[in-house]
Amino acid sequence: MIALLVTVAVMAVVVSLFLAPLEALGWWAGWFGEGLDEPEEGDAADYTVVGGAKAPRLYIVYLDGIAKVDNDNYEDVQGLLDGLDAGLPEITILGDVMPYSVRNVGLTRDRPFSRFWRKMLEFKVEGRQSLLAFSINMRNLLQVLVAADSRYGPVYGRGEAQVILTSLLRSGYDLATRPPLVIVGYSGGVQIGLVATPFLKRALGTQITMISLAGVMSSDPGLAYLEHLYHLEGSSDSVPAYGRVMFPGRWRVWWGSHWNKLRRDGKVTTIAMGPMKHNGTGSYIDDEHFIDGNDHRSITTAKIIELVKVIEARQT
Amino acid sequence: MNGWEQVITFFRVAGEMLAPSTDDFIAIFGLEGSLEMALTVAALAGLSEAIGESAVLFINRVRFRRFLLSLFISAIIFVFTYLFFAVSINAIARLAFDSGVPFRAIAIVVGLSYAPRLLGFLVFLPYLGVPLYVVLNLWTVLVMMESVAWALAMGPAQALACILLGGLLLFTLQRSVGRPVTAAARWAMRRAAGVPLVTDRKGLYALLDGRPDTGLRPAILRRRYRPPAARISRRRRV
Repeated sequence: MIALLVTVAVMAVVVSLFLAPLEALGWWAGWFGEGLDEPEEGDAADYTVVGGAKAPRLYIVYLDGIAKVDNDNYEDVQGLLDGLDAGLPEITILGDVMPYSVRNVGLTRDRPFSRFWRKMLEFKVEGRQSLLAFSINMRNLLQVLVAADSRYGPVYGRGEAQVILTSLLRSGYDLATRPPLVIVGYSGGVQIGLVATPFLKRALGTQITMISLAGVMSSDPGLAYLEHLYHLEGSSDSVPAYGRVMFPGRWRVWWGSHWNKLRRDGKVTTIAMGPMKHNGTGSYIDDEHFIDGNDHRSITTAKIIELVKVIEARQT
Repeated sequence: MNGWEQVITFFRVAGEMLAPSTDDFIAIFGLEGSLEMALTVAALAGLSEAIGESAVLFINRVRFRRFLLSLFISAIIFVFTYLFFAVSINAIARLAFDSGVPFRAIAIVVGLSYAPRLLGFLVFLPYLGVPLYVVLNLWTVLVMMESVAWALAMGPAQALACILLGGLLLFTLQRSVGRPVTAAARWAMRRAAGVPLVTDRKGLYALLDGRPDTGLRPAILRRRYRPPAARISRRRRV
């Protein structure tokens, strides 16, 4: 019986892995009836600016972690974005991109298994059937692997760059002045941001900086296009270490890798966040756990605001 | 053997060829239709490998029907490559190692040695695919070494030399007198794909970079919008 269960589980993982690149590749090949043409007004997913319209000198694009389901944000994520908006009133923050779909289609939307994902989302927000609900994270994790694969990564990056660019243009990004861009990625969102970076750089020609909130990333070619990478990591968070182990380009022995080049150029800054966990209770965006009287979310928000101000000052 | 028995036998033989022993070789050679089985293994391995490497077809934006046709053509090309490879190994065995073994025997062992590459579709898996490709190719060479050594009654080192020199001969022929055949294979692939196929890494990147700039236009999301059943904005992630 146990052998059967293990076999079924392994088969399920292999089938899921096999199907994972199809969304990005099928989109590029035009199999889903979607081209690369301009969208008609109003037929895209919501692109909403946090805090309303501004005329900013800098844009922040937030790419959520692998628990992301849809364009809507979880309450804790929205809390972080609202905090950033309050601390950076001059800066436009885009936080509704679905990083795990090159078509920006949330799992609960127009998909063959959308009913299943809605149910999983219900389980997740109600805290029931945590193992089943984890299938959302698994599904998105596989998309991170697709993005980290050198064969599929450029296709994924091209698609994600288009999604981000649409988001920027809809929020009033001025192509004449081309303000700098800061990508704030949480966990797997960093990898997605990295594959999109070369295309965004080519399209916008502006400076792009990455703030990695416990990012799990490979030594992606996108690193070469960054002005700087700030990596925030908690001492109780072991997840970013998986990236350091799993992706050989992150090993110090691969001297010429994009990661090591960036590090040698002094463009990687690691910031210790104290005893914070990757997700759930005690995470970076938990406002019910405290360090020295400050809740985790406030500490994280303040740190990101501080970094964005440094980046902004560097531009001027 | 009826059709079902043939399918069962095929899978049994393919399974045995993943780690063949002398007893397996004797049993397989005693089977009716072992050459046909070798051809089938090669054709299915070619198809499987074409699926595994189909990212190239996707990036070339090959349409679905043509995609399937391209996989089929790849499998046929793989079978021809296998037969030419068997001819090359046979020539080396005769010229360098004075072998008198008939071509049919070499064709059977070489064809069946492609059994590990029946798993070639797994190369499509993200991130794990590339190392798997290396593993499957090494595995195939090892099985082929074992098989050729048994068929030609020689040591593993001599069998490996036979395979490597056979490969070198095939490579040389492909780039000299075999050019028309290679060109025909390319033509067939282009015809099947319906687009000028780009296969080199630089060219593939160029395809993706084809129209960025501000022309990096958003993908159409011309799909009906369905509001999610469960709104999550007021909920906490667990």
